[in-house]
Amino acid sequence: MEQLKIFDFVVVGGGIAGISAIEQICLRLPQSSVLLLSASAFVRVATTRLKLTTHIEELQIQEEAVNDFHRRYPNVTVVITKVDKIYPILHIIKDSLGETYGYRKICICSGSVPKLVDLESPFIVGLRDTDSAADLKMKLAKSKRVCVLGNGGIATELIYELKNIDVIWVIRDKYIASAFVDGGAAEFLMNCADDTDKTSQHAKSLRYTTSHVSSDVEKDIPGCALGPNWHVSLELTGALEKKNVSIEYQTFIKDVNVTKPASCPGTEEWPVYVTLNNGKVFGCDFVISATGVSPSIPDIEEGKPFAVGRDGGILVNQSMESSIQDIYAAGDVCTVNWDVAFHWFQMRLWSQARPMGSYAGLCMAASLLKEAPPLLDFSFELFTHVTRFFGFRVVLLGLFNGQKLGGKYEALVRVTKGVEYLKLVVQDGKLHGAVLIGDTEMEETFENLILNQLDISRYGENLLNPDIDIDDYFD
Amino acid sequence: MVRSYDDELKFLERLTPYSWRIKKGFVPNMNVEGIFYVNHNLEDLMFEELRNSCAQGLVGGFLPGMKQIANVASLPGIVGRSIGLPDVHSGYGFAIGNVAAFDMDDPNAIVSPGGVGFDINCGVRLLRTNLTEKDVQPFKEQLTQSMFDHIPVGVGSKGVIPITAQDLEEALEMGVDWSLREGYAWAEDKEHCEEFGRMLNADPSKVSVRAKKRGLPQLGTLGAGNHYAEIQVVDEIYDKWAATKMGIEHKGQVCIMIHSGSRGFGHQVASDALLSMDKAMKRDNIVTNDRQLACARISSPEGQDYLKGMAAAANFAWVNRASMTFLCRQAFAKQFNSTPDDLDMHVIYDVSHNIAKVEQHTVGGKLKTLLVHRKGSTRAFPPHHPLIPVDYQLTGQPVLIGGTMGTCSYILTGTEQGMVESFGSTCHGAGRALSRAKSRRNLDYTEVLERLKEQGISIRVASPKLVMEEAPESYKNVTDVVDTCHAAGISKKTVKLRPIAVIKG
Amino acid sequence: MFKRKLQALGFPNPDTLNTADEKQFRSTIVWLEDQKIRRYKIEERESLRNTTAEQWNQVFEQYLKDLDCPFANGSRPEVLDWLLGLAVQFEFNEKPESYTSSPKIQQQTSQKLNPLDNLDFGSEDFKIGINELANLLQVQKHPDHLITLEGICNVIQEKLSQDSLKDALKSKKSGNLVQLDNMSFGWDIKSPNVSSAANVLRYLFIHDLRDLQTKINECLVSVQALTANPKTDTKLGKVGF
Repeated sequence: MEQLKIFDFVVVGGGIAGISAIEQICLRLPQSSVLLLSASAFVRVATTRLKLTTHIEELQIQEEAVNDFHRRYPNVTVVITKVDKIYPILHIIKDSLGETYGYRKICICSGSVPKLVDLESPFIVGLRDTDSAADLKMKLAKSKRVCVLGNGGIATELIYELKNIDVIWVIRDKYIASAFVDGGAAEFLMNCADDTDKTSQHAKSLRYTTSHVSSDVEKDIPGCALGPNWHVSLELTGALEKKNVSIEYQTFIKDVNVTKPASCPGTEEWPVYVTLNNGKVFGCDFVISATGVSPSIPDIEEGKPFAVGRDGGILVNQSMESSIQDIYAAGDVCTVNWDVAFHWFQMRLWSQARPMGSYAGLCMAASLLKEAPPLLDFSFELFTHVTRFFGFRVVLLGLFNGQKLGGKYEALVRVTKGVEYLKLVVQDGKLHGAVLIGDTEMEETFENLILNQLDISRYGENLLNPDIDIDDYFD
Repeated sequence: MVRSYDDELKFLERLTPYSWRIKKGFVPNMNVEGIFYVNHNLEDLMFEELRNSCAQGLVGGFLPGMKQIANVASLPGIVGRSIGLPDVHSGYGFAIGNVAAFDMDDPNAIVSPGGVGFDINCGVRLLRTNLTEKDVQPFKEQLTQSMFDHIPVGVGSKGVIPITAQDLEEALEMGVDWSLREGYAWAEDKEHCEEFGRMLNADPSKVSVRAKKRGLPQLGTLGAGNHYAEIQVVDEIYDKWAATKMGIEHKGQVCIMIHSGSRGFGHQVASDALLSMDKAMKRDNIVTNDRQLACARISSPEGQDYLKGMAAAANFAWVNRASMTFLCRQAFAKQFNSTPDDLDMHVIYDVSHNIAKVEQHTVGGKLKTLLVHRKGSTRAFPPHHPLIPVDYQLTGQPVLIGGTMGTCSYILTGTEQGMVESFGSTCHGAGRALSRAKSRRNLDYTEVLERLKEQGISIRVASPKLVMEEAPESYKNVTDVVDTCHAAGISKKTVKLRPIAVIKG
Repeated sequence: MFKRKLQALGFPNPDTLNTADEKQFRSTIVWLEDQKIRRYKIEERESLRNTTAEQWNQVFEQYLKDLDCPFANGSRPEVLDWLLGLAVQFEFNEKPESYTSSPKIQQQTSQKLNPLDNLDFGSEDFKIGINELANLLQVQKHPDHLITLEGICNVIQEKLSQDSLKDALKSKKSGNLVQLDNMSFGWDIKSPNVSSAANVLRYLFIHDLRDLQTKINECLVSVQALTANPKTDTKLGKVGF
């Protein structure tokens, strides 16, 4: 029998969290043996696209072929496979091809799988990973009308990116992008949805390397999750001359049918018909589901399974370690289970996958060296997320929607139509969160004000007075 | 106490064409008088600020510069005068552009974090090169991109130069000596830094863990707002001989200016100190005119801890600028396929804008040891002062004035008169006055507010930003500021620099 | 300042001698002539020994002339130093073997192509030549003429070599001297002579300070050679292109 190969570190998943963990491990222990089990032939490397402040950064994700990755980190062995089971007592992991590998420390970064609508239909396309995005591009080319489900970041970006097609956007909430912004910001963004095309300018500043779409992977293995700017290399263009978006608020899909229901108005024939629970019926070419995700956890053999949180994620302690010894988890798959800082909370975002992965890597290295775990990274002190909606830079800081404040807060707002939207969340004279849309250049000032917890009550709405150089004032 | 504008004017008196006196009584409990330096334009701005505040009460919680200068004159242990420089503008507690000195021998004398500012040891460093504008022009884009690639990612736990918690601890204690030891700086760099790039009283153990965590990923990063690195060219030389001493030989010579500070680290040190001093003030019965002027006796544990923590933050800022210097040198060397040495990329000087230092000055004919707070102000020591580098013994200390991004920058030199009048201090850059709050609400965005109201929270709305707005009427132009300092004699114009590329964090 | 030479000559109380004192200076000269130099016969020394006489200075001048002293018009310390050197030289020549504990240096080893190597450095001719050169350049003579030669070499290298002459010309051309008058030296001295002297001293002081700073920098650089290890991790960020 072949000798079992034991690795110092095994990382499951070549997404942002997994790769960030490996980068830190290799920085700390360049001689250690590392095994990466990747579902895809391409791994996702996060680099900083733009640092707005030290803690607030816009990420750029590049895909890199595993061979290239191995060349950069010769101590990392990459195997393209799917994980079958983990044997925590033996410290062994088995893959779907029946191979086994030993580990000293293992980090689960297997991400999440898209939560598709409960309806079985070949006309529903899930949109979560890069493979499905490529698939989508092909389908769109022949289509005139699509129905989009979901109200998260990806759905919001998708709506903006779709070109030359009729879009019916079905959302459960009262306003768009509700996970990220408030109603006011949504309204601000919607006003700009059909306005000037800001993409060209945006894409120019990006230096996006080739985005491969993997085709050589077994079909049942989910590909890599979409990263920020996932759409940039894809031209999501339909078959019409122009784009038209209509939004159905506070509703969801009740049924999908290939035969035309009697209640459907019009004489046009469509491949598929969608019935909403508000009674409306639409025909369309297909339905794009970009709803939520659920953590994708590998099976545990022998002994207790992972302790999981209410959202189904692997619970991890302050060292990113799960309930099972020597098994760590980071990224979408985990649920933090420590007393988090007041201005931070978990959201399954790329911007959190990166520090979580890096920090998990450091903790694993420290644990192998029998050192005390490193200090919790400062990125867990303040929630920050940078993204782009409708061509605008959107910066979310702290309790940007008044999370944890029980509705008892005040909002300071400055809106300049088509230019910027600023909202500050203030409670007891202190700043707790901010939404900054547009190029406001105020990120660092408000980041500092949230972290410093200075009393700002005497300024009132003048904190946002455009005539006052507020970042200089707090210099 | 609300007085009419005319009544307020009774406390103000013109001293020289370039300075005004603020008499005792302008605000309560003034221990010394105030003085501010202005030219005609800046004077109008200062007085309009005051008039506005009389007419409307406080402009949204922001005190006019003159009032802030006077409130500082009321602090215990202040000596000489509370000094407002031409770029003075509203800041937290102390105005930005305010110099105040406190007598170390007076047991009641205080130290105040507001007198230093949040971005401790925010400052400017200037590197020279032997390149000319012609050499750089064709590669401007690549060079900018290369510097952009190098710097914003910077040093830090995730940056180009890996640094651990232990490294940070040592950097806080050693300042530029750390950079020197690790090989990021040249020996000559140290020589041309204020304090030789290291505050010896720094004590990292007086800095909170939170500050260190906040600082760890920040080393070598530029920062937002008014922090930037610029490639500049010499536009005009006013004092050829002094310029020669700095290695500036001709118009068109390329220099690099780095403007940065201690960033989040300094913010945390200052916030921690403000909190602890609030308590110390109650204990020691220290009363100030403004709650933001939180302070502690210099000799108290809180005062001492702050000075040691502030020194650590100052060292952090120097390591920060030294790291960026290293990265700039790399970027240039790569672009021109040369070495930084052959490109003569020496540090001309490195000045601090936000800092408190123990210095000796003559007050009322007596030599005294003082704690000089400079907030938004630059030290400008005259020729022959023992604390300035040997190369500048005859010219006086170089003072680097960064314009706001994209405008001109200046090199000044310190003067004997400045030593006598303003504790050897001069301006630090441009500034912005509080202008009359114009009512410009427009109803364009009512739907936006409607949506917000649905959430059932209370909302306050600020005026929108006017697109393409540049409010020149309220802007303290850097040229006005520098000219005023020159005319008033507290520093001397030497070189003017013009930016050709900006790299912003 | 003459302690070592005085000690070598066996001067009775070298520690307390104050040559600035005219009386002590004169008696030292007499002691030197009586005990060591012996230029004059004993009876000829009368006028020199009469140290209280008004015309002593003239006698002394004549004495120096008779000794071929190159510093005849020099300052007292210069003259005294020269006289002491002369005395030491005589002392040495009396019994040179007692001073040479080490074996003879400067063995002529082999015939070299360099004609200088063929010179006999020990010959009287050579010694006389060196003495003349020393007088010409006002270099203090050493009993060992080879050391005198070294001193002569130093003077020539530092002051008279082509490079140093060029430098000297250059520094004059750069015009710093003109600037010196316009510069503020941080004091207000009425007398123009005292003022310019003070300014020159200030300038020299700054020059010394610069040398010191340069040495400090050199020290730092040599320590850096041991400690510096700038780490840049190119994997995590872009460095250049």
